[in-house]
Amino acid sequence: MGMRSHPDAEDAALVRAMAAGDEAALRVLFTRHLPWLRSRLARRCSDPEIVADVLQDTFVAAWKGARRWRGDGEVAAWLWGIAVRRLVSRLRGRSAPVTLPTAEVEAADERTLSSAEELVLLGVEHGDLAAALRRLSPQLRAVIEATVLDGLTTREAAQLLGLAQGTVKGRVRKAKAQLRQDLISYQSGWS
Amino acid sequence: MNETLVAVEAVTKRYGDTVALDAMSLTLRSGLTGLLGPNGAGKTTLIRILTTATAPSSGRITVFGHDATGSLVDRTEVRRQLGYVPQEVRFPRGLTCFAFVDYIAVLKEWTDTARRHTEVRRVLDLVGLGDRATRKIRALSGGQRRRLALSQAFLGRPRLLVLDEPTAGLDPEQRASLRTLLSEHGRTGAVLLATHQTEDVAALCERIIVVDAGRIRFDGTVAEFVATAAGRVWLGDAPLPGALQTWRTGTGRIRSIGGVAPTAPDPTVSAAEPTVEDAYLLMLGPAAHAGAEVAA
Amino acid sequence: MSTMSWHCDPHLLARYSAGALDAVLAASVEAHLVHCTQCQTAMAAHTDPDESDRIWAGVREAIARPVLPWPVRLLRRCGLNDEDAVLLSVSRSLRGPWTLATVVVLVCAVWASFPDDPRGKAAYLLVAPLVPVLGVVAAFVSVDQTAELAVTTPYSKARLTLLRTLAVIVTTVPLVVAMGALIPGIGWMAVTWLGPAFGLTLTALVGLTWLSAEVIGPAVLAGWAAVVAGAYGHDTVATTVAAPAQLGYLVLTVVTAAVLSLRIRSTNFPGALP
Ligand SMILES: [Zn+2]
Repeated sequence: MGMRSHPDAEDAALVRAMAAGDEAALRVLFTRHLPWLRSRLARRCSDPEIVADVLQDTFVAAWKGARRWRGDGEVAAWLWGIAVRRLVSRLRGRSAPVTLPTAEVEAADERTLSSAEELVLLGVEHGDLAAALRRLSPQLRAVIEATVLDGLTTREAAQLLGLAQGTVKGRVRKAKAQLRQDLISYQSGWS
Repeated sequence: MNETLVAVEAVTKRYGDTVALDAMSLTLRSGLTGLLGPNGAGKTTLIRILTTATAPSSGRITVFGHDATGSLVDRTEVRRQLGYVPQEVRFPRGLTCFAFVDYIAVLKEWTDTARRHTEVRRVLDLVGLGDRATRKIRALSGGQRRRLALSQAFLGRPRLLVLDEPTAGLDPEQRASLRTLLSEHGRTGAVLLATHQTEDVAALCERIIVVDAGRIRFDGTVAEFVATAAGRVWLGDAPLPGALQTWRTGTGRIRSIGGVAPTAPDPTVSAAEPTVEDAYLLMLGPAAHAGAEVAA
Repeated sequence: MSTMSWHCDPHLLARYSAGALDAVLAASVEAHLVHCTQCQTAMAAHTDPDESDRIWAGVREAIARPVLPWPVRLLRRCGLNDEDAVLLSVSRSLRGPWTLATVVVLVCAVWASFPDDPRGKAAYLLVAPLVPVLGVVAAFVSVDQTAELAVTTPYSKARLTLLRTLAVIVTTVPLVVAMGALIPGIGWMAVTWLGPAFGLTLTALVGLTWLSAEVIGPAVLAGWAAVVAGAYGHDTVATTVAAPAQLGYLVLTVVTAAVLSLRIRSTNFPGALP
């Protein structure tokens, strides 16, 4: 009957079932996606209470928005899009913005990075990108992460990082120029 | 445990010239009581008066010491102790399961929102509709709707639970889990179960009240009721002449209910253990299940 | 996705969820996680189940809370409490009166374009009192369904009746008054229609304790239409809301209010038939 008997159902099928009001489908989606969403949000906000609130809001919004989900693209990416925007609006107006943990917590070891697995892990064709990113200053890396990897607009990134929009724009420009410079010397393109 | 919780004293209900209840008197104590009778016997009328849905033409009903037929204050006190499942529950359009039970919970004076929502969740889980809470009622199956109607009766663990044909439309598994639920409830309060399904009564109730044509035909324990059929149910190679009902059992022998017992000892005919159904059939005759299909 | 041959090893995921990876490596783990169901599932090992349960309870609570019809949301914003909002949202027909009110706008707007036409006044007078009256009747139609259950609950039926009636009046009357004030030539009639409106509303409520909404609605409509049509025929539309008539409506309101309270004290309340 419900999705409870189909814990392996595809994300898209689950969202369609949610649109029809199937709470069990939401439960499966929740169980599957909560852990990584929580960790990913926790890297962007150090307050666990805010993270928990944002997670709750995210799944409530996904439930309400299931009917509007167009079915193109991945459900996980859709969920992250909701989550990161909820986080941004939640952090709006905070006097002391929570900064990304940009400090090198653990020195990456070169052997792991150069392995073939690591290349797949990066999800990019050029293994040099990792090295190039790593050479960026923490400030520049933070804006690249927010705009390129998290897919935020300049305004949203500015809110998340607690910076002025102009600053974000400037840093993105600077970071891209530096990356391009770095990658060109390895004969790779960055667009 | 054996104090009288509900007392019905000479209650009569007339609709025009029709007498639906004829000076009926009975008492209920804690535990499960089965109200058995064919359709139109007066079960639903009795229940509607007992639950304050309608007033009797004459007579008095006392529930936990409050007069259910008295003043508004008394009736309100009765209603606070009551869980009721009408024979047919129609739902307002466009509601979800949760919204419906939430609405009834507000009517049952659950004022604190957080506590009310927890209670609504509890009763929905109780009937196995926990994961259907956010579904629109129109998307539910017949059995699920029946369970939804049942769920609201358990709000606030009422001391008196009155159910009119609660198992109609449920599959055997749901019927079994409802029985578990009711038997648990019967340990702390009074449960009145109106039905024409003798197997529900046999499985659950300590006590049986049989009504027919607005009067009580039997009031006693299940064992006493079954005993009324002792010596009137037979197993033989052929149907007994004049039997009310006969059928071939799994062993190939013919079971006859009622009928003329053999006068001389007949080695092929032996007395069989009677059931609640046998006793019910023998008491009311062919009318016992009149209109059963309509209600089911 | 499922064809992906490489996955994050448990140690990598553990370091990631502990925040122990550098930014670049963490970003690449994140890039993989978005696409990989297997690694998403593996992340469950790094989540506190109690916290998950707490969040889930919150989600469940939030999605179960039914979406209130917008007139109820409006009232909620004006200070209506949660319980009353639940009671009102069951009769979804609060939208009906608004639809009716829109009809009034249209009808009156058409006639307002002929300021000297007496039909404009007559139409306003005919429709305006019916908006709250039919709104109240409609509010009891959908709840009729649960009346058998509702009547056996301890909640005060007088309060329930009052709440439903007031909700309709609060959401319709100001609109109809404002419209009357805007239409040229209506004048005081924009307020004086309230007399028959209250009388008719209470009459309808009393009627609902005996007969179903399907009977009472058309009956009240027909009765009022006959009054207005009769006055219109004699060219005396204004007399239906003149002082003597208003006194009549006042008497009607008081008498029906008394009967209604008596009916509610017995087992009857509007919507629950004996
Ligand atoms: Zn993977």
